[in-house]
Amino acid sequence: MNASLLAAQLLNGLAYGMLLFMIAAGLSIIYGFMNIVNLAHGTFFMLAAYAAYSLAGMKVNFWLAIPVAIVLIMIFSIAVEKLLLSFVYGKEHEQVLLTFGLLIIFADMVKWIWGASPRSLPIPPSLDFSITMGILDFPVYRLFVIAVGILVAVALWYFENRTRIGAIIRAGVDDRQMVSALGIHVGIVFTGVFAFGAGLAALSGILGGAILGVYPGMDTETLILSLVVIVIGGLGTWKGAFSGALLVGLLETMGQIWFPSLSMVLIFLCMTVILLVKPTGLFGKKVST
Amino acid sequence: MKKSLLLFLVLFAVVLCFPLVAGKFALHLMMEILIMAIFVMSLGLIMGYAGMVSLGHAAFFGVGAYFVALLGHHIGNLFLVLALGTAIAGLLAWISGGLFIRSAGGYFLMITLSFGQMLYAVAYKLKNVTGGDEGMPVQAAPDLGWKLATMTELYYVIGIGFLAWFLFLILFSNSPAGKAVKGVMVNESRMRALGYNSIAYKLIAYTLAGGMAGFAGVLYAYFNQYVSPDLLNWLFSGQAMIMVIIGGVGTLIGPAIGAGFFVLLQNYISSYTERWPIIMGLIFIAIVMYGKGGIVHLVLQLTSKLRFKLWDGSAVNRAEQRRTSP
Amino acid sequence: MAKKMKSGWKHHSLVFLLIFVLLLLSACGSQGSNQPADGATTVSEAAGKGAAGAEATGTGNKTLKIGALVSLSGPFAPLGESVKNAVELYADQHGNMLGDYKLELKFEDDENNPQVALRKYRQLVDNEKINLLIGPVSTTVVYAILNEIEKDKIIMLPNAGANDISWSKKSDYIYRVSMASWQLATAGADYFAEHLGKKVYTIAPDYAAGKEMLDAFTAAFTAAGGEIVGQAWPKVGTNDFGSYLSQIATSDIDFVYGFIPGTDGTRFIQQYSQFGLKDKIPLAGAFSFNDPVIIDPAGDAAEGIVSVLHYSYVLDNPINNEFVKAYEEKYSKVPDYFASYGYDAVLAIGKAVQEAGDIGAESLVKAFDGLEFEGTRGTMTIDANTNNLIQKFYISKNVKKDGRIAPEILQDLGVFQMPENEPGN
Repeated sequence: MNASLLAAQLLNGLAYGMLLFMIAAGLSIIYGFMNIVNLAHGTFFMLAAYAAYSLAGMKVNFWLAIPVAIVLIMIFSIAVEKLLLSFVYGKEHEQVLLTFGLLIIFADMVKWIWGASPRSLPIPPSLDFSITMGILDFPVYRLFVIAVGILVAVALWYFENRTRIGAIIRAGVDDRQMVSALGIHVGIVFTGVFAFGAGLAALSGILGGAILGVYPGMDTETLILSLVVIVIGGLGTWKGAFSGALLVGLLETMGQIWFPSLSMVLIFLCMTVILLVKPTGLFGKKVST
Repeated sequence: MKKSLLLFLVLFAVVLCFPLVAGKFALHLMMEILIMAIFVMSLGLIMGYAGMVSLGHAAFFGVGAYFVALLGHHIGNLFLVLALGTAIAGLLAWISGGLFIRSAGGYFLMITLSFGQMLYAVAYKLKNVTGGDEGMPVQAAPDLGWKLATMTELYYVIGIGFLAWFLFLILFSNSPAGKAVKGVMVNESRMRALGYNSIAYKLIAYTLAGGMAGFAGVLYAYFNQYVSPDLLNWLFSGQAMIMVIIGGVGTLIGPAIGAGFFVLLQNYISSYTERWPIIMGLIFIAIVMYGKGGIVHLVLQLTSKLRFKLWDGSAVNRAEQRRTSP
Repeated sequence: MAKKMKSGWKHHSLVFLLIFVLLLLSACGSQGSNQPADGATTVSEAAGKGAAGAEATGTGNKTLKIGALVSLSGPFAPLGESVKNAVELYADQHGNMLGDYKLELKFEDDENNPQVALRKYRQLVDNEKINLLIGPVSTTVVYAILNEIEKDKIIMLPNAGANDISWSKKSDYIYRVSMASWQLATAGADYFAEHLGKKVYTIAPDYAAGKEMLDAFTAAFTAAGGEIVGQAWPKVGTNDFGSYLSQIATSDIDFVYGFIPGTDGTRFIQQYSQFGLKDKIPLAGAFSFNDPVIIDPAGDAAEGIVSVLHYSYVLDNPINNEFVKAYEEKYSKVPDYFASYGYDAVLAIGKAVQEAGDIGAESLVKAFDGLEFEGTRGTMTIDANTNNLIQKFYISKNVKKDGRIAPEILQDLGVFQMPENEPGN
């Protein structure tokens, strides 16, 4: 085992972990703050990737396509929240059925519109090169993804700890009724938080599209992994999503080569153990009921 | 209880006479519906009666199915296989339930999910034993002392299994134990204050549900003659949950109706339009927005004049009065 | 904090409108759509709208219903799509007639999932009452529906590499006009050992066909003096080969041998280049690496790959020349392997029906045994011992020609016939 290989594997794992982090962070905020079971969270991830794919097909510049696709998905999520989800706050069964319905509608719609063949997002020309690290070349695009992930983590930390809205959300995670009693219009905050979570998932989908591809089924695959991430890492804070995502990302990637038969079992074993021993996860705060 | 027994007789008649009017394809469909109904009823037991929402229930179904695939051939007799499969699944439920039931609501959901996925991963990875992600064919043939030759014979076995479990659920929900379980769901702290060991009752329900799901899994293996890890996946558990919710949580016939609804949509409509998931999803959303709790509740509302109550909610109050009165 | 369920009429009508529109679209959506992956459309409708020329009225009312169970979603979707395209092309060209019979086609998507495949298979046989079955594309699915085929006595022409249907699971009802994994992997092993080197790193997806391919390749390669230095078994549907490529880059090998069908193959080729391996370590493989449906999306990354070929649009024979022309005209792209498999399957069925005189299973079985017919790969014979095709294999290299990457035939490897029994038995 040599240093180059180890470094490359670490970077691969980190890149994958960052993609997981972004989508899990969104889910953590939504589940942690709004207590909503949203089975369609992976759908935001997927739709963003497909939207970016179409935009790429229309020869839209990559750097422009990212914000456009994110905004589109955020608008979509606001529509979902306002028209549908807002009616089932507090009703877990209904949320499950409703979001499951959304999940299967869009899973099929995606096949209908774009076909069932897996596709790839093209890497933007400006990032489509590799740098030499020892005896192998490493694609710069993956380093870019790691960088974006770190930026998002920093932004979330700042947002959470240094802004008023962050304080409201932190308070809301602890005690929602109190927040509302303070006169803060929780409804608008809810919608905003939901859209923000969807936006994060969208960002992950677009960036990930060039590495992981764009294909039907990516919604449920990512959903389950993000659930694992937030359970292991903990709800309600960016630290949870970050630590959980890195752990899962590294386990998955390293596991592919070194213990392929075990990695899947290991990940779920981790999840089970954490739930039994420390249900709030590594860094999580107690979920308000 | 009388109303439930009446419903049971109706179902009995339907199940009995169905092969006389149905063609091969319809019979095949009905068999799938009945098997799924058993599975979904077991989930309905813990969701609607014990208030435990599980996203890993498919694990017990899958255990039953794989049991047949791996050992059914060596054991032979169908009764024995059913009994053993149910027992193993039940045992697994008892052990895992013992560990998990203490977890509160949201965590219970997650932990059942992760447990189910762990078993899924095991089935997926143990290629030499289980055939891995490709699954494995089922060699075992249903043998009741005589080898079942026709599909109709297997249909009756499945139908009787369904009716038996349905009857069991009627009896259970009207028994003291069953009422205690429902009481625990309605108000756990109060039941505890009354001296009931809520955890024990939940565990009973969970174990029963696990065994029942295993039973369904065994039947499925004989029916489909092929098993794959998908049978243990959370998506399959999720589907079952959907079927319970559509049919109506907390009702006796709801899960079976939900199962029938879902399977019909999946098989029948899919031959007319490839876009059946969209139709199904829209129906789910419509049910949530306008359905008020599932098909059964909808029907109940529409036929409220008949006062066709399927579960007697006042039983808990009566039980409570009996305990506290001198 | 939940809002009440009742709300303004505006909201209700909006939701209703949405539901209504979506219902309308989905109910009408499957007919007349041009999208490639439409599973269950009946060709008679689609072809009827656009077919030129030939009369569609048959002599008498003899109908031949052919079902096709292929993967139209998942990593193998492009392969299933090609089969569908080719079969529909045939129907188009001949006015929905196969000899004296009116042709009725029904396609179903097995989603590369054995459970779904079984369900769709039942639909095709019990509901649609098909006479013959073309497909599946995936070896896994083939093994899953084997028993049913035997029980129902339906003749099947699979397009998958599954070895066992020619060996331990050989059946009178299964005839293959594609190729067997053993053939594909064994051909070329000698050439690679001689021209590329003796130390190889292999990579193939972790499923039945992958294992069969690599078992055969290993046997032939080691017999030629080679050594397998490392192996990778990504799962089917792997999108990110980063870890495997990193390991390949740090191994002491002469070349990489890969069998990666479907879109996984495209991604592997792209990432092989991204990780800087394209010009450092030669890449060799089986047919996927010269298959246009896989290498075209990969672009220049596919240049230089050496692989085993048994069909290409550049093969020169009368049937293929006409086939390529018609395919390009209808679909604006060249036909690939699975298109040729699909087309040849229909041609084989046509010849068998002609020889048998009727479409009963028993007479067809007799006709298919040792059948000789003209197809896109020339004159082809179904070997009665293995129910598999006896055919020629070549070595090709991907070169840049006229702005695209195309296979160029380097050497003719001759005919490869599967041994009657599995080697080592």
